[in-house]
Amino acid sequence: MCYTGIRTNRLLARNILMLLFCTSAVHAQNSQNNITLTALNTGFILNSVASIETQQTRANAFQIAVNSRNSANFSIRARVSSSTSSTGTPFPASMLALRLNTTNPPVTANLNTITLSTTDQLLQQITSTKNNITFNYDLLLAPVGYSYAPGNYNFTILFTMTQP
Amino acid sequence: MKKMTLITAALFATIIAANAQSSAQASQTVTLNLQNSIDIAFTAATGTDFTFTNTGDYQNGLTNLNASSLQVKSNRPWAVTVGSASANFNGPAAPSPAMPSSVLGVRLNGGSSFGALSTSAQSLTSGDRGVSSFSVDYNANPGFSYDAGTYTLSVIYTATQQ
Repeated sequence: MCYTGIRTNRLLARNILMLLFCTSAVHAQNSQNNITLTALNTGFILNSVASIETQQTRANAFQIAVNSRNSANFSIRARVSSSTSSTGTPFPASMLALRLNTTNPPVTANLNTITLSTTDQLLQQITSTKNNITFNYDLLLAPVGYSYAPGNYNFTILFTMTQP
Repeated sequence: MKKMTLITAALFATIIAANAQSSAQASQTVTLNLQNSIDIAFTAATGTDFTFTNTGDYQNGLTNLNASSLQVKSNRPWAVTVGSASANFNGPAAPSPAMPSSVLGVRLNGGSSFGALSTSAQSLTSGDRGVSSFSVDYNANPGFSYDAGTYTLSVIYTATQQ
């Protein structure tokens, strides 16, 4: 009995060592996943009736560079994580939208306009052989209209890249 | 033995959790600077002509209800004033007497009395931020003091943010 118990313990210990090795390997792979965000043109100044009444677009406002540890599959989501205003009345997150302009290198991607909210919205579900992809996004502001007082309004947009 | 099994199970759970999802995040602040904006425009102006054809018209004057409609767009509370561009109408040359702008009166549609126009702006109406519309009535009452002819006057509406 004792001999059998020792063998069992050795077997388990060996498995544990293997599992520990696997765990450290997963963490190493995780560390290679990253998303680099460059904001090139994300400010809006609305100083005329025309600019208040029409949709405003900032072309290539965001450059999102994704490094994927596993080139096969990943997603990018975005949400408005916080908003503030000098007037005390924040804008709804749905005033903002994102639209893919280009990718580098070219990949099959979602070109639809995605309206933002305070919960994650799926921008891309990518299946590609490429590990490093740069997404250039346009930032769209819906017509503001006259319901909001003059002032400064800030939105923080949080981008998340996830691998299953 | 039981302890080893528990440890193994815990490690499995850790690995499953680690494999379940890996992610990375980045954020950026977008700034929107909304400046003061106001606009006023005519949406209709169908009642700006008066034709005096008989002594009754001269005696009593003529009124055009809903003579003009205006729209104000403002992202702050606003007020509109009205006045004439000149002290007198443009009309037949002297020796015909000059017709003063006060011959023409204006009021907010449905108002109780007409305010005689002058080059000094007078308050007409006001409102909160947003898009607002209103109409005005005109009354022209020249009496019998002026030569027959065509007289014109520019009326100025000014919208101001409060």
